[in-house]
Amino acid sequence: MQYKCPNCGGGLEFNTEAQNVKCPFCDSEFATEDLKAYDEILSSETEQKQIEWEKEDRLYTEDEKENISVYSCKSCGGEIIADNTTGATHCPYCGNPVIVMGKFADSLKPDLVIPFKIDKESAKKKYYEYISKKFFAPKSFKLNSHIDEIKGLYVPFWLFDAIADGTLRFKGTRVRKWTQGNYDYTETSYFAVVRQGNLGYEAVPVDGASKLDDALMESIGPFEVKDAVDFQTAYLTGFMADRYDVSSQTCEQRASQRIRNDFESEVRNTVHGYTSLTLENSQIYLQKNRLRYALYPVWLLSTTYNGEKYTFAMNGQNGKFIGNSPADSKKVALTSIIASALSTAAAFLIAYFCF
Amino acid sequence: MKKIIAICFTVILAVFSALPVFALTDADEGFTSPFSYAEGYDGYIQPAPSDSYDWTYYRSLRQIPSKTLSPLLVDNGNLLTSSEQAHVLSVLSEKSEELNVSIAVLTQYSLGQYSPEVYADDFYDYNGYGKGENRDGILLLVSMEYRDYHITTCGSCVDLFGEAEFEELDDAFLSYLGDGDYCEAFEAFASEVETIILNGGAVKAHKNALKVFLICLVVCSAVSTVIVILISKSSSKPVRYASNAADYHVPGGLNLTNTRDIFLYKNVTKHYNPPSDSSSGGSGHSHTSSSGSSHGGHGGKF
Repeated sequence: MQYKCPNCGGGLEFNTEAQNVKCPFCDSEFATEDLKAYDEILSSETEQKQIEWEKEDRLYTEDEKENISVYSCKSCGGEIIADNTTGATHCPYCGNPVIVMGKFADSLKPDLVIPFKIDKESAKKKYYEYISKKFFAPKSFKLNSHIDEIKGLYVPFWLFDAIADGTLRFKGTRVRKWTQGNYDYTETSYFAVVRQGNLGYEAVPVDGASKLDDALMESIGPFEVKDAVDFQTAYLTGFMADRYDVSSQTCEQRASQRIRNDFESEVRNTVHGYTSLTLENSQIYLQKNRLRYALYPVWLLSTTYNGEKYTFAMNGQNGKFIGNSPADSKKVALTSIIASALSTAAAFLIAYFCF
Repeated sequence: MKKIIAICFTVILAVFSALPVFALTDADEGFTSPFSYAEGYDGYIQPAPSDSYDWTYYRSLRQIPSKTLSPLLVDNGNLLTSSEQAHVLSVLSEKSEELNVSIAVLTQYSLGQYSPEVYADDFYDYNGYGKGENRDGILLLVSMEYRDYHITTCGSCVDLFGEAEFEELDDAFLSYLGDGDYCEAFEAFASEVETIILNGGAVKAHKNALKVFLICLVVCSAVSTVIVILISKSSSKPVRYASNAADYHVPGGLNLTNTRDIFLYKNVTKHYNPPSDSSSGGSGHSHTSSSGSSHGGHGGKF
């Protein structure tokens, strides 16, 4: 049986005198038992299998379809739905007028909906609070934002439930230093650190609306899925809703990536006592996978400043508000100058009088 | 582009605020000796009268003589030729006269039971070196037995010669001393002492202040500008992908089913750490000699 050196990858040889295994290339020595255990771990690491997600498809009934109108924005191409009593007039994405497209066609019906808990007035208040705290935002931007165009929108989200079951292998080092005579010694010990475990995830959301920035939607999270209820068209009253136009298969990649990253981070946090830790292999299987389709409440505000579009979003469930804003280069320059002058003066005084 | 302009503004503003430091340096260039000339004080290079006691007599009495007993150059170690002795003595005399301090040099083969510091202090004190009430002066002792050198300072020179000044002195003459060019070494010593005394430490201090200021300026401006830009970016662009999914864990959290830590191998590296260099000089600090005088000093091997 030929083992490979964990240090350099070269073929190892058994040293009969020392009764251990020695690498002829890098001179590292290994105990046979340790090497065997390490090899067992390596051989158990296999390729990731295909992930399947279970989804129970629900469709709108004919009655429900009768009550829903489809609107289209000729400006940005956005397609939204609203119940017949709402009478949508403007696109929630770009603010331009929308027109009725016609009868609502067959579409997947959401499994869940989280109803709006924050009303429009609260949303406006939150926006003012948010923008007033933006020190670097230009004054004209703060004054000219179109606050009246805050729109409530049910955003389509794919929700992914899974249990991540995985084995992670790290290379850990422990460093010991001491001095003997005129020599400083540094001993670096290398370990194969293996952690196996499982962690359940519920309703990891990925937005299925191509018109909305995925990062923006992740930034207003988390949504509490325990407050979600079975979808009824009645919840659409007074609000607009988008239909998913990004498939669950596409969104699955992001959900899977997010779960894997989180699992690795959680497992890594359980490893202690090493000077450095490098992930060498990660085998994560997602099991008991379930997929749901939900509508989440979001307040949206789009505004244009110097020809650039800025979209702000607020979580309609808990009021978390976020959005990128422009930075005033003059304010940045002035702050830099003041900070430079103050820090130079402080550093000079400290350096000159204390040393 | 706007950010670059901002950085330029910062640097220009800071340079303008540095101008007073330049002005201070320029204004002090006319600075001369920090010592006032003691009028009517008689010759400090006057040799001891042949009928008087030598300095060891005063040492035994622990009494400082009222007159200078030895010339400014005492070459007991015979390191110089007679023409070199005359030259070094004239240089020492000239500079001592000009600066109103004693700049003396002593060469000695063996110091006997005394350490270089004690020997230099005693030689200075009991020969009556020094100018004015405080006996301002500086003496370089070179002992060939163990290749020691020691510089002792007295009076106002104690404050004037700090660690940095001793380093400058070492840089000026120590290499000559090591090479056996004793005449050049003593000349360089006298010359550097003159420079330091003429500058009175003040110009040097201002130069140091300017250097510290410029370093602070460059480092603080760069760091502050980067920090402000990063803060402005992070404040104006908070929208980013979530880095984890911690909000969506099911109750119970992570369940570890297997943990193994397998030792693989170890490397040991060693680094030679040389013992502290014995040729470097000790730092100067004020101490009291056997006569009760306060001396500064610095010395080492060459």
